[in-house]
Amino acid sequence: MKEHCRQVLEELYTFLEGGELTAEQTLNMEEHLLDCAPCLEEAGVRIQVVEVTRIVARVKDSCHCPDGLKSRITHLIEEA
Amino acid sequence: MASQQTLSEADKKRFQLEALPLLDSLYAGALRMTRNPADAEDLVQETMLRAYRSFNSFEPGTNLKAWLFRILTNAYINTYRKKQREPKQVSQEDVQDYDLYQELKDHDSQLSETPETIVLDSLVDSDITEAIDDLPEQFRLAVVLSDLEGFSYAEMAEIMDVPLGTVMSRLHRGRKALQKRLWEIAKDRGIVKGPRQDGDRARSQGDRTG
Repeated sequence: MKEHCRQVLEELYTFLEGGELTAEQTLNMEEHLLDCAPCLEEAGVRIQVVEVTRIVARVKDSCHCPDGLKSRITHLIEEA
Repeated sequence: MASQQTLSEADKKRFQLEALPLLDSLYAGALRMTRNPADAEDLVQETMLRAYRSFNSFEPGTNLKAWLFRILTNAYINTYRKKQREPKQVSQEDVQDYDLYQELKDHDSQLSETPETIVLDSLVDSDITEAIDDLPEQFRLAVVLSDLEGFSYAEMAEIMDVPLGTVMSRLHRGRKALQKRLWEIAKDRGIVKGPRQDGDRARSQGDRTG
């Protein structure tokens, strides 16, 4: 049972990090999570964590290098 | 200044072509590390100069962004870390036991039906950066490198100069701490109401008879 748990959780992590699972893998995972309380709890924890990652991604490209800094560095490199 | 080989014209052009476009990324990372725009600018400038001077040691075809971030992180640790004020400390115990879903259930019962996503999605961008900035440094660094800059665990181990297991541990605990901080900010903003008060019940009864 423990080996199966490890496998299911690995597949879950893959899925949550954006990977793909086969239909059979998905079915096996769902069936296992219904049967195994510790894995279900761990899955809940992982899903919460992924949720935070999604929130953080909102500010991903919101910050740009100030123009002054860009020209300063470009100039320094040019003169180097 | 230490002696160094001067770059060939070809290498210089390659640096300008490949490294300068990464300034936005570097600045974003530097800003979250230093939490201060002036220091961030100095840090980026120092990083680019160091990178330029040691560009001969960069292996073409390998990950330039990771290489630059390694220099950035080292420069931050060596130069700026001492200057930083300590952020609000999130204790280890708090992080281990924190469960947002449980917290939601303990609150106003109406709220427990509201998915966590609606609460956190109501936060504005500056709330999110504030929450990140409030993280203890090692957690913050891990979250920034992974979730803002998109580095793999292996790349992060290189950049932070720590074992892979340490990367994963800091990242997991950092995200948990961030979740907690986001929730606190949501409460401060009034997005999340406090627990139901007795006054509420009395008020609604009054409405019925009035």
